[in-house]
Amino acid sequence: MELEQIVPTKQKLTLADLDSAPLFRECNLPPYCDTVVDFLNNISKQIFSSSVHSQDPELSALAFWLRRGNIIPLIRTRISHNEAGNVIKRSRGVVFLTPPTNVGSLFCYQLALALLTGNKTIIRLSPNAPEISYLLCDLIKNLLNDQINKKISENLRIFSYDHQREITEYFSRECDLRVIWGGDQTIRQIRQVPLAPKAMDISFADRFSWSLINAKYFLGTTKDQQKKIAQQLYNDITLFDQKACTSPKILCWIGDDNHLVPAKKKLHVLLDTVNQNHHYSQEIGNSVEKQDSLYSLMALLDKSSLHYGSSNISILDMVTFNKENLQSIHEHHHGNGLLVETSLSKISDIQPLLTAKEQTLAYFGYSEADIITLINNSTELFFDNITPIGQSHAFSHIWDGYDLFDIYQRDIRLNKL
Amino acid sequence: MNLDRILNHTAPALPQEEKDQLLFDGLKQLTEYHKSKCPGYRNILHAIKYAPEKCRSLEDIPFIPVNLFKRLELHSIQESGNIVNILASSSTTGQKPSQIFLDKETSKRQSLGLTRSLKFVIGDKRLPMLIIDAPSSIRTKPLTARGAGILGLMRFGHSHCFALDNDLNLDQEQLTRFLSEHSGQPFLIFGFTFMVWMYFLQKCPPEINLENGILIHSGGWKKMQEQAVSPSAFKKAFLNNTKLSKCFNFYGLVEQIGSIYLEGLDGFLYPPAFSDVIIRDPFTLEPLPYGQEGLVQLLSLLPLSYPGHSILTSDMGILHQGTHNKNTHGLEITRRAPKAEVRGCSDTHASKVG
Repeated sequence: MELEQIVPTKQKLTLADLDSAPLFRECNLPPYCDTVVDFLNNISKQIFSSSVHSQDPELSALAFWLRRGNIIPLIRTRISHNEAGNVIKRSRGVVFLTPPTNVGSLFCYQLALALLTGNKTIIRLSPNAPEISYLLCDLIKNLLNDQINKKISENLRIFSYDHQREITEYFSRECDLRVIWGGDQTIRQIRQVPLAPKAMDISFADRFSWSLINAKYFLGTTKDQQKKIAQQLYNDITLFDQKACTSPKILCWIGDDNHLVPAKKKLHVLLDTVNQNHHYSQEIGNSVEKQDSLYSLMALLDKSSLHYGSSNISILDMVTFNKENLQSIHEHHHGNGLLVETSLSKISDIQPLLTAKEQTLAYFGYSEADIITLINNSTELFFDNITPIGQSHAFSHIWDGYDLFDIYQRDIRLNKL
Repeated sequence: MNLDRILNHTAPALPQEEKDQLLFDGLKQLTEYHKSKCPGYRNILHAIKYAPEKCRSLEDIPFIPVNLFKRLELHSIQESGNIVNILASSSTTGQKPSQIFLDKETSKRQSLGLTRSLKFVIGDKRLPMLIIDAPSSIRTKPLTARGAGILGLMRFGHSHCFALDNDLNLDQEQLTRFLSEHSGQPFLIFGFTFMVWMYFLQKCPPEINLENGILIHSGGWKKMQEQAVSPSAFKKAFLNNTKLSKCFNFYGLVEQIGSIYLEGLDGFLYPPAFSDVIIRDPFTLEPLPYGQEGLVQLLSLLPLSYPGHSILTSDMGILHQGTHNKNTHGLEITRRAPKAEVRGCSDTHASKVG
């Protein structure tokens, strides 16, 4: 039973090695301490200072989020809240994070939140994790060599190992909070491994996302704005090979035929241009899987028709948007650059279709007030994340219905005299 | 019908041009047939805007990806009582297996096709048959592709003998008995390439004589690559160790049983008269010329009970112009298309995204 530690130092370990010493020393990281804020800011700086990394949309988004300028406002309210009343926030203790393999930078956001809240942090990376994960680990490891970061280095351990039950069992026994961020299959597997009685589990399951455009508004807006939306939609789709939970797989237009027909046509032309100007590199396997999804959906969705922009993004026009068809798309769509395009006459027609799987709604052509009305009229089956098109993948500490700062902390009740 | 005309001719007797025309017309008819019988297939043709009048060559015949049979129940049998068998592909990767629905007519066509393809290897007579597999292989329910393959071939033999026991150990007693009775005259040997190599040739007693044997083997080339055994090393080992010289590899899918691609003397796989191959670019899906690697599309006149007459496989291959007959072409299977990456490779495109 072997595993590799990759942060703070690189070394091969066995389960017996792990067992022979405590996972962490008794060295606590106070919540929201400057050391952590500086450390995260330094990760950000390192990414921005590299000409290669700063060009990568995934890494630059991470670097942007880790900046001091982003973190300080996030934690400021938390700190004052702690001092305000009879609730004092403290870390949970040891958190065990299992990030997903489809989004290679995600573990860094989790790491940031776990350390900011003062937790001792264990992260399991898959040996199949994307290159970007290992690149980030190297960067973190180098920063941790600095004496200034000694406390962080004593509170953070990143391991790489296959799904080996014994190792997961070990970490599950040692942790106070286990965060399973992965496919439904992984969640089921890991959930079978017991936690310590007082510990808790939070899981982030497979989800499904849409984009939404107001056809009339789209037609009425400027050419430049239309172009921009096509480009942003393209980016939202192609990043992560459309395999992230947040990747839009359905484009739902709202409007009547007068607007829908010309609006769709216009967007198709624009998307074709974006398609031609960008080389979206795919692996053969992704292309094969895309054909599998596409043909399954063509077979299942009555009267659908294929608009083939190019080999990059294919658009499948779905005539009837109902629960059954949505279910088919949930089941058969595996990303790889396929957009199922459909329409409804009013924005309120969305609600009856929704299931617990719907996660992100990326919109264009609606005001904040429109969106708030939509949310106010919603039931418990509603998206967890609503964002403008182009921002589908932007990370937030509010995720899948949770405030992650709250999850990573416990509340101490102070009953005043 | 076109299939009968092709089946009733021997390949050299039918001029290539006429064969091509028969094949094209037949596939076009099958496309219409399945369109009328299989709602899922009809939806696909509608979605890709298939128009028969615009279908002018083999390349225009629409295809469906082979994995569709794993994801959906696609068939053209309207009365469920007419289903005589459901074949399941062996699923080694934990995937769902393919489900191929067969009726009487399609089973018959598969047998006819197989007979037609194997005729020039085996001849007209049934031969004593040694099967390099376990007796249990043909008894699983549902029948696996392996079992279906064995059962299909068993019709070309008599006095069947399974050379392995149910634990896949060589059954010396059975083998000795079979050879003492039949090895004086031509006899048939059939098995899957990897099993023939691993469980038979490697375990055979040194004095074994298979001089009169005709070995037909199929599949398992990926495992053979892992063992670094080339097709020529495979043949050589058989010749040196057992004196067997008649060794024929074939390629075929459970989704197109009966359409088998026999290995020619040049080592390439040749389609039977009622089948053909097209190689397509894995990304644009455009047809590729000879010599270029791409996804293998298989065409066959046999499938009537399910829309499998034109299948885009997950195998990668190269098409070569025939060495002896320039009108034919031979297929080289190069590899299995890799599984989808969880995430595409490094984001080289990203720098251009504004």
